[in-house]
Amino acid sequence: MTTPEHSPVAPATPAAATTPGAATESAQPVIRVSDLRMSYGSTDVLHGVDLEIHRGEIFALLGPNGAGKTTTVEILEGFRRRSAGEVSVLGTDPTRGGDAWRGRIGLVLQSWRDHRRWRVAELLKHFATYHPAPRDPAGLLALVGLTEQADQQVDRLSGGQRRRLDVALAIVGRPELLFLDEPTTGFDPEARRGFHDLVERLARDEGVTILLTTHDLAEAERLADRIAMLVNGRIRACGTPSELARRAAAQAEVRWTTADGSPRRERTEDPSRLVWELHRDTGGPIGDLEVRRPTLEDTYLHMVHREDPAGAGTGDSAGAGIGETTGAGARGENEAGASDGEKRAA
Amino acid sequence: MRGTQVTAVTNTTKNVTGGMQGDMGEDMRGDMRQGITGDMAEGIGTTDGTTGQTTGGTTGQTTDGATRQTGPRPHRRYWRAGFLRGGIELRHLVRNPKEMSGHLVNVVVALLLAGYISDKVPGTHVPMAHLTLSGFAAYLLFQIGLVNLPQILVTEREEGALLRLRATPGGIPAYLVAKSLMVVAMALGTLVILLGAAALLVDGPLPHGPGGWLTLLWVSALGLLAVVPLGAAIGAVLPNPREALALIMLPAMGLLITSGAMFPLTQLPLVVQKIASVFPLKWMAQGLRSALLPDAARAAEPAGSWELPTVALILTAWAALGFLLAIPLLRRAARRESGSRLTERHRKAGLGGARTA
Repeated sequence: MTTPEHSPVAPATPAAATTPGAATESAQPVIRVSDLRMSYGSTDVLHGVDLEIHRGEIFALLGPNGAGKTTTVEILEGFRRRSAGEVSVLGTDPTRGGDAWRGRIGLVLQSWRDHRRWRVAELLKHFATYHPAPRDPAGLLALVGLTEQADQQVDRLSGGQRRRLDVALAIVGRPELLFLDEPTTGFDPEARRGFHDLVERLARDEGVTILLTTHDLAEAERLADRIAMLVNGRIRACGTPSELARRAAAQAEVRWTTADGSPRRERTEDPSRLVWELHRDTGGPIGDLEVRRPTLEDTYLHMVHREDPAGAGTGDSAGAGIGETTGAGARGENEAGASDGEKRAA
Repeated sequence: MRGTQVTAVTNTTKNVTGGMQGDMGEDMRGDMRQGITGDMAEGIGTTDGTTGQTTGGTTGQTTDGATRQTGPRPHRRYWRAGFLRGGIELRHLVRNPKEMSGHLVNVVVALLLAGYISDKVPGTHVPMAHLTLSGFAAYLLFQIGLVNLPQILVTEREEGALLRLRATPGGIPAYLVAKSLMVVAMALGTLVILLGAAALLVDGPLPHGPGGWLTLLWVSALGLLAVVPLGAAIGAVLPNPREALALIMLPAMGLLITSGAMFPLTQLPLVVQKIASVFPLKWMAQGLRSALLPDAARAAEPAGSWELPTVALILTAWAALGFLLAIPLLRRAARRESGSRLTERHRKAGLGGARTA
């Protein structure tokens, strides 16, 4: 059966969302995927994907082109039939999702440019009529910042405005689950910031569960409670952004300038201790102090390059082994196809 | 309990009629079943809209039915959305000068042609212009179903409107309702403008008496039914609007010439007559001639009569064939839509990313 709680305003604290275990009180995950497999002809695209996404969570699915992201999401959206495996979205198998199920899901696709001749408010009002208890279109336009464009024709909107209209259309029926497909492609920084704020508000204030696919690692890091990396049809890593970064490269880089003006840098698993020791040793402020944690990008590139058949990495153990290499240095080594997974002496 | 909830939260209370309450028991059982199995009917609903039988039941909610609000019954909501949509699309059409002139240019061509033609239908005193205008009326109906409609469908498929509606509860039934409305309005508008303008400006034909009007009505309606589902099937199959136009226009023009729409069929070789008589345009034109021309004009018909039973039979056969083709093809088209296919098509079309970005 489905989860007993489908209130569109279910409270979800960020803390609960970031820890998968803490979400158990909302009974079932919004999305549960186990051993999902997909093949087109003789080509296997997904080799047993497992996922659990909980209520109110912002979940990012990352991966290079051709990794199976789109296929996975389209199976979840009910647009594709899977080859094998179990999939449950809002308690229903997507291949059997009827109108009522559809009404609980919102979709934002990057390639939509439909209804060009419609006016913004007209379109939103129209799509409200399909839903039993829609949001107020005027309020929604304000929420996505399109009040001024209400009477404008849709094809006169900028890329960012168009996407925000797509979000408004996707949430007018108060969905519990929102799919965002590379939503900020082509946005300027300001539009991107505005979009992120909107997405965060939806998740935090209204408990909407959000599945985001993106190429923008900074976006995933900023928005997502948890991130899964899909590489070659397998989930290679899944966790909070900092967990992923920690697992990929346990060492942070500390840079500073010594009293005689020469720059120094050192890798450490415990930057706090190193900085404390530096302070103790110098007895005062440290010049140009900088602590650099490995970024999600480091993790991502690391993982993608591991999968490269030319590299030395053993793909199947990647999930367990990502902690074995060190930070910034590992990237260059991977690109050279050498010493992947080799433990580096500090 | 559920019944009162529906009444309480509905925003269009007039929709909650006695008849609806009567149906409630049935729907509740449906919901219970769905609640237990969590099982929904296939979500495409492509054809269900035409019969008003959308999938899903009253709320279709599973155990959350108690917490989630329910508005008017889905069927009514979808029909209403479809009618609203049809109205809005019509308004857009009428207000779009480019598209309107595209439709009106046909009428102007027909009027100019009728103005130039001064001879009589051979063996009669009926002006040839009347035959040509009747033929044009038939052709324009034919074109709405087999040229304009497929183009609209292909364009909206390519832009993603179909996908958005597929992702919207009741979207596909509403889309079909809207498109039907649109086609009927276009046909009606075209006939009124063409025949009205012809009657006023070039002494064009109008039906003689109530029988003639009745014939005009049923031939137009049946003619539309013969071409619209077929056009929908074509629109579901064709790859993109540009190719669609090229693929459809040529055969359509060929039929315009060979179907006796422009000049009497008897002037054409027998083989051409035989081929043209397989297609609906010949019969639509013949039916409209019977409504618009005096009976004396029968002399120019190959059979020497209007053959109205055959007209009805052949048009019905095309309608049946059209529906048989359109239902699975539209279902398939709707099912195949997905974000990645949309992106792929856009890439192929060389349109790239967000057009207005």
